Amino acid sequence: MKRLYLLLLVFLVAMFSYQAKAQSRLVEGTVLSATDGLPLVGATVVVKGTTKGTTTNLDGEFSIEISEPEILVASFIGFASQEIAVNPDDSGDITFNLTEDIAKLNEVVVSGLASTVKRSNLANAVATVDAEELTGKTTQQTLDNALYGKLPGVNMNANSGAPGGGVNIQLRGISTLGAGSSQPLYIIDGVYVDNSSIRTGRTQVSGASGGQSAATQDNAANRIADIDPEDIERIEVLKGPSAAAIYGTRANAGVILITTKKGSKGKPKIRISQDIGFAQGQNFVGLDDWNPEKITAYYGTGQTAQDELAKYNEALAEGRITDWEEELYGRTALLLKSTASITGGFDKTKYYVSAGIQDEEGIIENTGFERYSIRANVEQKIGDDLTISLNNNYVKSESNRGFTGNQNNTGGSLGYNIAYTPTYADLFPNELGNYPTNTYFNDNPLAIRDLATNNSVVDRYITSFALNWDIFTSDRQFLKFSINGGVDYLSSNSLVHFPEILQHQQANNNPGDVMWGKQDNLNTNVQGFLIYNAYLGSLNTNTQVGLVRLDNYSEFLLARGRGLVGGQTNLRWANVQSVQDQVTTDVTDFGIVAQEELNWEEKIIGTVGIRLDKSTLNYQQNEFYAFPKASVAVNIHNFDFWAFESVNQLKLRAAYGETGGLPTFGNTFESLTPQLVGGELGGQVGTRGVDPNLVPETASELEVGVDFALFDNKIGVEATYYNKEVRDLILDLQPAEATGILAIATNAADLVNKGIELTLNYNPVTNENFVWNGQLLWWRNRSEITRLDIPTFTTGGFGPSLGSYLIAEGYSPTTIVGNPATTDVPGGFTVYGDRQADFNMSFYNSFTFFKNFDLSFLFHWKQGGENINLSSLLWDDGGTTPGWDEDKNNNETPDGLDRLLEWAGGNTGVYVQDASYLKLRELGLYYRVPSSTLSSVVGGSISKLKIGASLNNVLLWTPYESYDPEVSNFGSQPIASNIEVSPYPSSRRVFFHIKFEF
Amino acid sequence: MNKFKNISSFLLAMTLLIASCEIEEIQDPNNPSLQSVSNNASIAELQVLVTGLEARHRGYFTNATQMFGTFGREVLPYFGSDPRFQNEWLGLVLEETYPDFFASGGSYIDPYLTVKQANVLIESVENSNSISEQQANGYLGFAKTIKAHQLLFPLMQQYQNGIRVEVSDPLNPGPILSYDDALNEIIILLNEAYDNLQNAGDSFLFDLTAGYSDFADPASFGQVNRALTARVNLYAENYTDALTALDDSFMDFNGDMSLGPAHVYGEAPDVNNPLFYPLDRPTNTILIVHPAMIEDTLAGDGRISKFAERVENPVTNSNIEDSNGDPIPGRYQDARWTTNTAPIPYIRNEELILIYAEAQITNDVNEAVDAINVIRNFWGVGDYTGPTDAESLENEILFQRRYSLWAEGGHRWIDLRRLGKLNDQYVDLRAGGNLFTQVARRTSETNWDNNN
Repeated sequence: MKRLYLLLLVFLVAMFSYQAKAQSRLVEGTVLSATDGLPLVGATVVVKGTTKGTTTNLDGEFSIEISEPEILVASFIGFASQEIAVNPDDSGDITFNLTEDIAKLNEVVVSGLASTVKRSNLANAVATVDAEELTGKTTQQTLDNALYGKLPGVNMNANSGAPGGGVNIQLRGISTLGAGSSQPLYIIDGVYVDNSSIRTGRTQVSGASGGQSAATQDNAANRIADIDPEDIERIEVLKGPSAAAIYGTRANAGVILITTKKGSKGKPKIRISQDIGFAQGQNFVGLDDWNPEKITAYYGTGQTAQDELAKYNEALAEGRITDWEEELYGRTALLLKSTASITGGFDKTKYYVSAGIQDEEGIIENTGFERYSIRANVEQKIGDDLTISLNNNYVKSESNRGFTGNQNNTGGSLGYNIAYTPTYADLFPNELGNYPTNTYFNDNPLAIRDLATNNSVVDRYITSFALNWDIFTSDRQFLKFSINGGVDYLSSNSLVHFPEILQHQQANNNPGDVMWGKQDNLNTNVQGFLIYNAYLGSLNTNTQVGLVRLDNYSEFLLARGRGLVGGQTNLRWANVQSVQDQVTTDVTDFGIVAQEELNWEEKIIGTVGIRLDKSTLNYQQNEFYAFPKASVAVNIHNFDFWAFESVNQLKLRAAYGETGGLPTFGNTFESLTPQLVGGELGGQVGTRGVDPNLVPETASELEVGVDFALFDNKIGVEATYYNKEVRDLILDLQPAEATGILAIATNAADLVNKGIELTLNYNPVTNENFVWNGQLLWWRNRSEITRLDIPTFTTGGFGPSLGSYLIAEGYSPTTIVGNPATTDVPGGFTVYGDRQADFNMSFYNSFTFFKNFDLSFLFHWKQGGENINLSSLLWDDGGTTPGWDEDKNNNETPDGLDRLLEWAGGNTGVYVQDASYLKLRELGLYYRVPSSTLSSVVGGSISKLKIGASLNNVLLWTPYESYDPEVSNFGSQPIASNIEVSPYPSSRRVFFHIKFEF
Repeated sequence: MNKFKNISSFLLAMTLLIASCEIEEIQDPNNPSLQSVSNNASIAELQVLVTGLEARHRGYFTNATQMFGTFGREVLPYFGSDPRFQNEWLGLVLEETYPDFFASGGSYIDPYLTVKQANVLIESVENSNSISEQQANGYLGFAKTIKAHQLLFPLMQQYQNGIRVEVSDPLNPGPILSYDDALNEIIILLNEAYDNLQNAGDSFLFDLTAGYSDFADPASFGQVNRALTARVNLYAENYTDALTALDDSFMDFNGDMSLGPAHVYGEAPDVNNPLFYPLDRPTNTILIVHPAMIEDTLAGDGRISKFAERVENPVTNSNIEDSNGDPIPGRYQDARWTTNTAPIPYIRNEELILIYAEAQITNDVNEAVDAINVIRNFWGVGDYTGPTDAESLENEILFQRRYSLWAEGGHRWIDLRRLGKLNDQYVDLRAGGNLFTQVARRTSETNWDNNN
């Protein structure tokens, strides 16, 4: 290995040749924005076909030396680049007028681990979101929430409305059936960051554990929620293997690259913003009223009914009839966010320093989310050749997510609870603060809300470093060395507590239950690359080779105490103390990467690359697995024959790549598990066997597309088709259960995702008084299992009678099945739908009018896709569904009971519902106070002032019969998402904003 | 040349990176590997497997008691969190169960996990050089007895569907045997275990929990083996063999009715007694005594003390209602357990006396009646005075078993079925529903046979 690098290096050095300088002229000029004529600071001007270039100063001016006739290319982020021919014999300044680049053609997008490429030369449909799109229009709680509807091919589903996040993101369909990570890899400034959902043990405390899915029902947030969206400059999404191949063995679910804000040269700019707003629960179901007829319908006519009637009359007389939804979910929650940042730079130093506080209440009392974040990004140039940058971020986030979702025997879910609790139940605490017993369920929901705790606090430190060394630079070639990496350290502490005075705890032998969770997670990664770039005639070549390494170590501890005394939560005050779980995870990945990019006059751009990876998660821990890629983009408009003025871009592109998916930690070990029995500790043989031939999952993707821009980039279109095949999917082979081995992870299936992504950008009007920009996105994905070596099976949820997912050859892996049994379908159950959407569409428009007003809105339409709505089942069972005792079919049985009986009779489809929706996700209106007004009123001490109002989740239209069709009781699942059990309702958020810049 | 200095320092950096490229292989950092115990296990490692076997051994009990108990209407599942406990277990709509029937894995999968554990222990003993042959016989006798007992539960659940008995190789399991063949295999296994125990010397090399305090050596554990053998022979209608086995068991007409080996429980991280519910606390999730049990109790029967009335907190469940649609309140709960760590015997002297009585019906009627009276007198009801024809005696024994063995792993359902009396004449169906004879074969078993 060492020898290989040495050889390569010698080869590269030998290729350098001395280049003599000819007579030259200093060309001077200015780069301006064509929209408003203002100078563009920091725009790049390069001599076409060389590596020679400069950037503009504070006045938008530049100077560059040329020795022969050349073409200068000026470019700036957000603007289309422009070319002007210059000749050393001419004189006079030149001026570039750059027009806004609504198709983002000029944007620089990642093309390898150590290289970037202009979007116009890119062979993939890499979606990007910049700061303005991400957070400029409204305030979102978490980073993932801010991505909704902004990226084609990205399917997102919030797991619940609980404060603190929790979003399932799936890029281009299904990339694993559960063995590997279904969530994309997040990389922030080169650091692999943890996005896991950390168990809190709420599942055990509330008794929710169970169901066919082994997944936790903790409803914990995924930890990307720790990242403050305000710090983000841009996000690039590598949706499939063709773009993500260079990330190798962990990239099957795609890669989300996040770049944080950097400093820029110039005097310090101080920005301060304050958001204040409120949230309200939306789309309440309106649980059924109770009256004497209803009581008869539900309880019959016997003694029980008489007793209930008496209770009802008592409540009526005391004015205690309560809408439990309003009572529990009806809080108007206060939302606050404050941010401050300073950015600036000197000759060789640039810095960005920021701090942010976000403090949001939830719509349920005693729930909420807080995040404190500070960041310092510093870049220092040492000499001419060396640049070092260091980005530091400390975050503390705290969430109180309350008790919703599933439960068993505890009443530890508000929604589950009120499904069975009639409006006349006597639940309010008396003057002594004692909560009455709920005779309709295991506990009093008000007591659960007021007395129980579900808290988690994360302290997190993410630091990244990068060193770029220009080893050698000449006009026509350069050699660079770059090393970068970083550390993501996360410490999580959680507390779930049911005090001993709760009704259901009093029914236990050891009342009082507390669960303390602790996780320390350390990710470290480093990569080193050599990049050699040269012009060979009209061909630009870029060669990179490098090594990457990732280490992940985590310690998880969940400790439980039962039989609490004195209202304490300290474990020493528990009669029964136990370790619920302790897990050490230790993983190392190592990879070798090589990539070659060829660019022929921006007409044809080709790339080939390979990554070799090994990981200790594999059964063969020291075996390399190869992930190749190849792509080509053809810019037809750059060919000389192109004569259509109005079509200023036409690009055909094709890309192929492969990525991997790793087995879950622990699935390659055959071990004993400890179990105490009568004071003796024994070892139980695990239920999992091991397949010695296990290899990683491999996804390969072919993506083809056409991009074009019309009328000076007024209209831009990107159309992409992909075929993503995931091979050797790791599934659990289920031996006959009689063998006592319930699962053997094995490469048992292939699946195909095919999809279309369309992007239309338009900028129909740009003038002094009115600017209109818009974007229309449309995407769809179809998945199908094409090979299944193990028997057809159902997975996820609570078993087929309550709705489950079918894994069968020829079927989508997200097919929902249930009773009754049928022989028409493999697996023997009836098909009721598919949780994946028929298509998604989003529609964004922004208007600037009267120069200083900005109005924007974003609609998101998800068409089709079904949910398993078990809330409806609970409401029917508890007699609380709206209109439960109506009798629309005149069969003298209440409709709610009809549905329940139909379901009990073997029709699971009763509770599988269409989850289409149309959401107005974002709506914002801002006013930028004109600088003339500012200088006359405040004397110029404030250079910019912007005020506005915005809403998110404003409107929701859906046929779905619950709070929000976006839901998942089991958290972020590759397959078994979209199952609802009385979740935390989602909320509508309204904000007022003020932003200053000094 | 400055550049070359730079390049050499760069090379150094690359070398360091490359040096980090061999990755160290990871073993399970959280648990011992299975391999370490199955190859030449030490005595300490065998103890870990023996204790693990005891831990696994009790898994079946909850589901067998609750689900079989509901099938036989000994108990009613007032489990409020999931309506399937009532709808499906009581067969309110279903006439038959279906593959992977709701909440039925506990009396199928759990016993087979125990069988797996026993097979691993047997293999480890056979591969161990740390113990003598005599000592090995002790382990084998224990492991095989437990294994045989466990096989009985999937068989009771599956009944005429039959079960697999040879299951040591996960990728090459033996065939599904018929009910009769499987019973026979279980008897053979028990006899094999008894041979091992008789050649195991005076003591075991391993420790058992307090559940075996009276049966902790090869001789007394052999009595447990014989007791189980008697039960299986009764099921197989081998009455003579049952009587022979009883002779060598711990049956004692004058002894403690509750004498027998037990499953033990403890506080976390141990498992709680699954049948314990604090008395009369408000809850909607509790196993309730079927009201017919209370109504049919003989005057003076001491066994009524097994049930406690829920005076303050009778429980209702909207799915458990009478034919008028009025809820049937759950008024009585299990009162046998003083704490949630109380041990539960899994075969008792009382059952052995009743097996004796039943096995004697066709052999010696007087012996049968005597044995019945031992039970009746013990609980404070007078001698049996009814007719002594076989049918009457069988019904009397069934009645005694109903009260003596109430909610101890689902005897009532199994007894009525094996005697052909699983019908509404013997089962109180006031809560409606259908009577299931057996549970459908599990999907994994069908799939395996279809695909291999």
